Amino acid sequence: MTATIFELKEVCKSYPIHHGKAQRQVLNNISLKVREGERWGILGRNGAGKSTLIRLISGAESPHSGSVTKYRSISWPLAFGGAFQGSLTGRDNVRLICRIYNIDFKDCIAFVEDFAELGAYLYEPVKSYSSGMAARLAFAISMSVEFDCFLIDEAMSVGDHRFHEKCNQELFDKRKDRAMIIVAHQMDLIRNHCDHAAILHHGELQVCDTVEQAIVRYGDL
Amino acid sequence: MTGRTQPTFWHQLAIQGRVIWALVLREMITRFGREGIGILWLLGEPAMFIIGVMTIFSQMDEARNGIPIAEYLAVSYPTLLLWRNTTGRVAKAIESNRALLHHGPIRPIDLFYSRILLEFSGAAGSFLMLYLVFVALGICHWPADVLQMILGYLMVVWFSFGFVLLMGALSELSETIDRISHIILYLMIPFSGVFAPAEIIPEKFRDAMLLFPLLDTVEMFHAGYFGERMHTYYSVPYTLMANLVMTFMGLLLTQLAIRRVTV
Repeated sequence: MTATIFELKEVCKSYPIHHGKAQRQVLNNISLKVREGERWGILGRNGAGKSTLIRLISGAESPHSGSVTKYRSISWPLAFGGAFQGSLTGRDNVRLICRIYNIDFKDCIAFVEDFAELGAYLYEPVKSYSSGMAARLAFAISMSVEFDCFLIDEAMSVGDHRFHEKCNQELFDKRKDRAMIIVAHQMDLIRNHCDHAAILHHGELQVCDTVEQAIVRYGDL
Repeated sequence: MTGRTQPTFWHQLAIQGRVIWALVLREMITRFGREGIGILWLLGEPAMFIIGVMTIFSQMDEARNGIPIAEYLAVSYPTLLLWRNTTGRVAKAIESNRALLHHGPIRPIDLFYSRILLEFSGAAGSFLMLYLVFVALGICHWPADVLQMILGYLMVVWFSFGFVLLMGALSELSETIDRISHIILYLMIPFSGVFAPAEIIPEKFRDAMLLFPLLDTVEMFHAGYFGERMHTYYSVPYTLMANLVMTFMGLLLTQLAIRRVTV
């Protein structure tokens, strides 16, 4: 029996609509247990609640009812640019992450310099970056902190082909022992990298037996 | 919650300390940048405020009850920076930094604490710096009772901490409070002990006004600096109680506000 990374128990989440006069239920009674090394693909259409699910798992938001319990370290959504400060330089963002996660700045900046290939841009504010550059920085920083579970919110679609390859290698080859949650509406990513799958539809999470089954069922939606 | 074994209280405290410090340093760079005098603005900005207020008001009146206005304001006015400027900084701190909450170690209240810490350091640092300069210039004197002055200042700091948490939480909870907070801050000035120390407040109002703990704390601070030169009015047990209750209310409401914002 492998160790549990995190567990969602009967999680419900809704957001106020009509200026707070009503609530829209985005996630309805979701339970999910993710164990060490499992790679989950979560399929769902636009607006199905995939990003909400990610925010609940990362801890950026709390559920209305039910519980989210984390037993191991979980990353922020990979290549999620929003977790970085636009007015700070790339280097200062690295420094912030190092301080928060208590990792060595020298090692980290060396890795980011080498991996993100931003050159002198590392000394410029992140808001002056192109979206590809920002994604490269975000991905590189994410890879310099060791997590037990990575959250991936359709992150891999950014960057040029060569960088894409590099990311795949860093994440899926070098870290193949880690758990992952990949949330996407494109199926290749999930077909190639996941061993468990579920579909998020109308606020409900349907866990499928195999990844192929999930892809077929998602296609029928 | 995220550790392999249940982390101890001290371990968690160390994490929180580290995170707050990281946020303080980040805030320093985003607010002041690295150009020009950079983070020296942390002291420079409040110092300019204090000098400006001193200069203007000392032109209107030479002295009051034998205390020169410039000297009085140099000591008293900086207390205002603690509660007034910090309230503005803390308002909407969580909403504008939500994305940071994706990072597991950062708890929402750390966003409050880091801004409070930075603002308080600026206010205290600029006061101390200017005070020493003014003593050297002969505008101010050494305090009548250093310990009492320090304790009084710490009481103002404590009041400000509770007050800022309360206001920060309320503006997070209510758009209305957020909108009127600068009005509250402005209308508080007569009750702040700065422009009207308790000795010049008419006797029939004095006791009622001393129910507002800020006045008591500033009076304690005045007592330490001016000693015999000024009649001060305050009650230590009452102020301790009031500060304690306010801090408790502040923390409670902050917790409520955080739940509201992140849910």
